[in-house]
Amino acid sequence: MSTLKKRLKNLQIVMGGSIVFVLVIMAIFAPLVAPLDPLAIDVPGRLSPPSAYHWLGTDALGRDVFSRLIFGTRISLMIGVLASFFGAVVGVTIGIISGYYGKWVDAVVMRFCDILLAFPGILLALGIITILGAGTFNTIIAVSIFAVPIFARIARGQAMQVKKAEYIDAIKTVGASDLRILTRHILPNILSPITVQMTLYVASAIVTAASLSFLGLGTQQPTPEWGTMLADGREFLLQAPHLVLYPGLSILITVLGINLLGDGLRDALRPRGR
Amino acid sequence: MSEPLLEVRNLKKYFPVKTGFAKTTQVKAVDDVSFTVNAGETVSIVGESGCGKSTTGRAIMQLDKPTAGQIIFNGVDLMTLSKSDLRKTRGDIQMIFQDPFASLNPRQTVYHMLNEVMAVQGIGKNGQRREKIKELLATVGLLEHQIDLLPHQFSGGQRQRIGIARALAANPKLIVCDEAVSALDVSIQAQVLNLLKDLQKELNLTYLFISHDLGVVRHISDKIIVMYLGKVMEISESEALFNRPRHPYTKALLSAIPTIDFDNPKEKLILQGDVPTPLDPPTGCPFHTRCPFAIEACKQTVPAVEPQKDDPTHGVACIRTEEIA
Repeated sequence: MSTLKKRLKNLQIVMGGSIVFVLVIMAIFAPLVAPLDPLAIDVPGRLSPPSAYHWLGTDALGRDVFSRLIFGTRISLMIGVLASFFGAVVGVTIGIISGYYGKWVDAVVMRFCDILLAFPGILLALGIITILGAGTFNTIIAVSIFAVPIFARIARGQAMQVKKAEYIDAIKTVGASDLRILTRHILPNILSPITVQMTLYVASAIVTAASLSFLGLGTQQPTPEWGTMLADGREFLLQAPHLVLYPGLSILITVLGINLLGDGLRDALRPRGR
Repeated sequence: MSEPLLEVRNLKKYFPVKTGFAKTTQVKAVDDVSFTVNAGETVSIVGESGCGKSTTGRAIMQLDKPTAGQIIFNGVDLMTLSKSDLRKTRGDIQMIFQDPFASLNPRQTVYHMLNEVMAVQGIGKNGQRREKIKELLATVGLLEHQIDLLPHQFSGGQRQRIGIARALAANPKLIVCDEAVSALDVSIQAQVLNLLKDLQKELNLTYLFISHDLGVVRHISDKIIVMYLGKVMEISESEALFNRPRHPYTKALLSAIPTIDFDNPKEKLILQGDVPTPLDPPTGCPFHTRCPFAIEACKQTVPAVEPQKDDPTHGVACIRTEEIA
């Protein structure tokens, strides 16, 4: 890779990393960062445009949009990270088992994944929410179920590759159990692509979760959530465009930052000089 | 010295290969191979790529389940052992692999690698194996302070030494060396071969050496097995084989070793054509398609490995040995 390209890659990680870092800080210290109470209703001051007091204006109930966005970071990041994590744990587990044992285990698991992947993500999530009911926690479950086949496929492919390595044969000749081979030898060696995918999936999980909330099926009022805020603002698109503009931008920046970081990580973690 | 440690009897390993729609053909990678390895000996299996020598090694290691046959180690048939008994026995048979870059887990330090081998085999107590591992490193010519390094911090030759240390960590009786030096530079090859020789004396090891390099094999072997297309062609004491090869294939192999004796030019026996595909092996003697001495009868009968009249330790699978010798 040329020097310029390397610089750009580094810039990518730094930019993505900074955005994610700021978001995480905002989420953790939301009560300190937010200038106003995100739930305080002020009906006379409703739909006011951005001003010195309300930096990003107020919504239909007069609540401060900026403060609500900051608190919304918490929900969005939490859903994104947890959904990606749970999805990865379950997906990687069945993926490496499927890839390692192959044969009928693999056939069964992968056909099941194909079925899950055949549904458009949002439709699948909708179906799960219909069964489980609306709410933040159920959103996490719905979004992580959709992540399972994605991680399972990656883990399976990687496991199939790694299991052929001579060092796996070497530990087999000592008499190591399958559990040991899977957890101590295969898993550590497939972790880099999984980490990258986990990072990238946080971004899509945030979008899916926001979409569910937009449809009124995710996080419920009055908890501030970006998707819910978008849905509420939709009615006032012409009078108060800031109600949709800023939550939309928040999602955009978050997803961009995470994707930049994930892409950068992918290159950084690429195995060197075999 | 001369009691058998490993006996391979009628070993067969067939791989099913799809050759068309809903049609599978058996590739006979190893077909009816028998030999004995005595304790303390070095036995080598030689042959060109695809002759089944590595498959034989993997079958002995129980990495690939043989299709048929017996692998008797220390009087016990490995194929009849239960999973847990096999696990215990595995420590007695270890393997050194060809590619020192692929045979070490890139994420494990030397310590973790060797410690794991000992833990699985139940040697020593957890947390108390460090000294033992340092000794092992010294035995294979590595330095004590390298114990916490990762594989990528070593050179190819050093990595192969780690591979040897890993094999030794299980306290084996038999070590199968699958092309253990062929990936190394010639100068490093000699070092590693010498190390293996020294270890054999010191630890009373038995080696089954798998190689395509007759030069390497000549220096270390007591007995040599020549394989071609999954079958044994000739099996003999090393000296006897090099001094007087009897099978036409062995003759061809030996005459392919370059020499620099200009006064007595060797008569070269150069084979024509390629190794036939194992998907459709020749009838009769597998070598008849390339054998300069082949006659009509060679196409009909599969020759068995017969001991020679003048040297019962020397087995040859050729119906014309007497005539062409």
